[in-house]
Amino acid sequence: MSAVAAATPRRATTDPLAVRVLLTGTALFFVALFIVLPLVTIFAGAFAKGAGVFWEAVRDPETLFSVRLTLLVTITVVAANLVFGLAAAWSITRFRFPGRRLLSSLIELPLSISPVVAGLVFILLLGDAGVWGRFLSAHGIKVIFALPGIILATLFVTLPYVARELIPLMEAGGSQEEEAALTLGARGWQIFRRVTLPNISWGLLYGVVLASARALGEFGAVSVVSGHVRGETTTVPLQVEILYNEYHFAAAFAVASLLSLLALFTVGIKKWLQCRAKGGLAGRGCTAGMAT
Amino acid sequence: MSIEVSGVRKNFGDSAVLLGIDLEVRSGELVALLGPSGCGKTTLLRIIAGLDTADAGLVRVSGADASALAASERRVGFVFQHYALFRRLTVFENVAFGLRVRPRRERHSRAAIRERVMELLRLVQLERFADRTPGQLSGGQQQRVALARALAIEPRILLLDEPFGSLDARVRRELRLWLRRLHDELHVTSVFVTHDQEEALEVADRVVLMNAGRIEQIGTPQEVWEHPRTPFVLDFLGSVNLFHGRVHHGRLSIGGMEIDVPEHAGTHAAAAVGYVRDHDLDVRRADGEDAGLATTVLQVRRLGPIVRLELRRLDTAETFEATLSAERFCRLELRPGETVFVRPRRVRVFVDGATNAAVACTQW
Repeated sequence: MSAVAAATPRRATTDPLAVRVLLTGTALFFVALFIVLPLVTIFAGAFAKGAGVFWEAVRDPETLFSVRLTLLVTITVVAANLVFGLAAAWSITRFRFPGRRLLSSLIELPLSISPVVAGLVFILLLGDAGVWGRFLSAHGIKVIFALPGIILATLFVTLPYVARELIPLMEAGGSQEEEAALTLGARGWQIFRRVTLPNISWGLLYGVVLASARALGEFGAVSVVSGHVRGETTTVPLQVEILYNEYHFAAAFAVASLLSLLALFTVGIKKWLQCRAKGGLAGRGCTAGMAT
Repeated sequence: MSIEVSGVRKNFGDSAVLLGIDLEVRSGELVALLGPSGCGKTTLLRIIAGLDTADAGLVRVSGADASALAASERRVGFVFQHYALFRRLTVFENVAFGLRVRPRRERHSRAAIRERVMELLRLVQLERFADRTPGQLSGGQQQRVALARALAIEPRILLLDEPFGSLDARVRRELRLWLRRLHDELHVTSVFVTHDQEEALEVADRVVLMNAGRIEQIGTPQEVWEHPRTPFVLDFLGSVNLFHGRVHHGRLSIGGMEIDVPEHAGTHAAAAVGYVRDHDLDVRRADGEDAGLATTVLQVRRLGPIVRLELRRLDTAETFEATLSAERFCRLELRPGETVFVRPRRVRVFVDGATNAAVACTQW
């Protein structure tokens, strides 16, 4: 086996060296320019005035509040996403009903709508001048420029992520295992917990990670509905903007570096989940997946 | 446990899949539902299991209406064509599944479950594989796990949907003979779906032939083979050649060939079709006393113990096939391009418009 592997087989579609160098070079150039350079800049900027200023910025009460707010929003949104994603994926892959195809296309809509537009829609609907807004304010419920509005806007932009991961997975898996469980006497909940969930768990986690990443960093839609009320509706991305606009560059970069760290962390988890999902039970194929 | 199906109909959207099925499976029987793909046999099986519901009609299991019970309450062992094993569970846990999901008061102790599962794995000769996952087993092994899993719940009836359909020919044959032996041991009332006539004839106590949502014939393998009731059954059970001709006063004439068909003695000048299985054709170099059909040998194909000839009639230029034993073929020393004379040893005649068939045996 090793003897065979040692002699690298010549692939039928080997491109000339020049083409390979050119294509790889182009890709590396763009990665360096648009990903590595900005990341380095953020961390350089964060520590430009020394670690003391960095810690000062991170420990600022307003920043700490924004971190708590962002985490609260993310947890709420991801939980709602789990429920919605499972329900949508289940109904689309397991039931046949009129409008099924439309539903599966509509789920993707938030990905192509500008988040700012989404935010505006919520203001028009739920703001003081809006149709439902009047009803809400008459009952003393504040949605826009408050936490519920931020959650709604974030939910809107992250809605597709879990469902999008699950639908192809459940489509490919088919429903035969569930039917088998049914004939063996299992009831609905038992089938879900013992058969369906184990089969989709990695895809589900992957969707959750993607949704979390998006929820943590969402700026546009949240910016519109939050109203930038300091200490009340400023999430981390908004806090970065405020600090920047007030010329606290080092502080802005310090908070931005927190977000970037979270992003890097998510990418790591994402990669790990992809490997696990491919490798099945034993988690094999992970190193192979990384190498290729 | 007996199964009684009466008047079962099923439509999928606009297309009718089952057009009124009546069927009785006796307790302890092994019955094959045989038919081409799309004939409704799998749908019928799924309706019996409760995985699909009939639009009309009744399914009774040992006399009691089964439609009142959900699929999970019917205690029906179901084996799927593509095994449908639980990918993430070990072989042991797959087989144990049906025992573990029982309501607490009916559930066995852990030790009892373990014992039962190992007993079943021994039955399907897989006890060494208990800790593997399905992905690490061959197709034949996976299907045996699926069978053990279905048997674990002590099913009242066992239903198998093309159980050997995705296995290669050799494993297929081994496994179906093994299934027959297993059935002789356990005597669980069983129904299996197949499109392979050989499989049905070899394994089943009785064969149910289905076509386009209807049952064409029910009978023992010998009955349906010897006395096919319709052209479809005849055609489906073996490679058959059609010879168009006329029947008049008990004589069938095909081209210049005349064959006695005493069963059609009362028929006057009617168009008829003679169905002849390809191994029921006698091939000779010289024409005998009874005239045969003059044909040209187009092709000779050797398939181990038999030789298949592709022949073309000189009169109508229609082509058909005849099968000879290798031994007989050697004696004839046939080559493509030669002219030979062909006469059926056995022909089944269906007069146009009439459904009842008659078989005639002629000896040369």
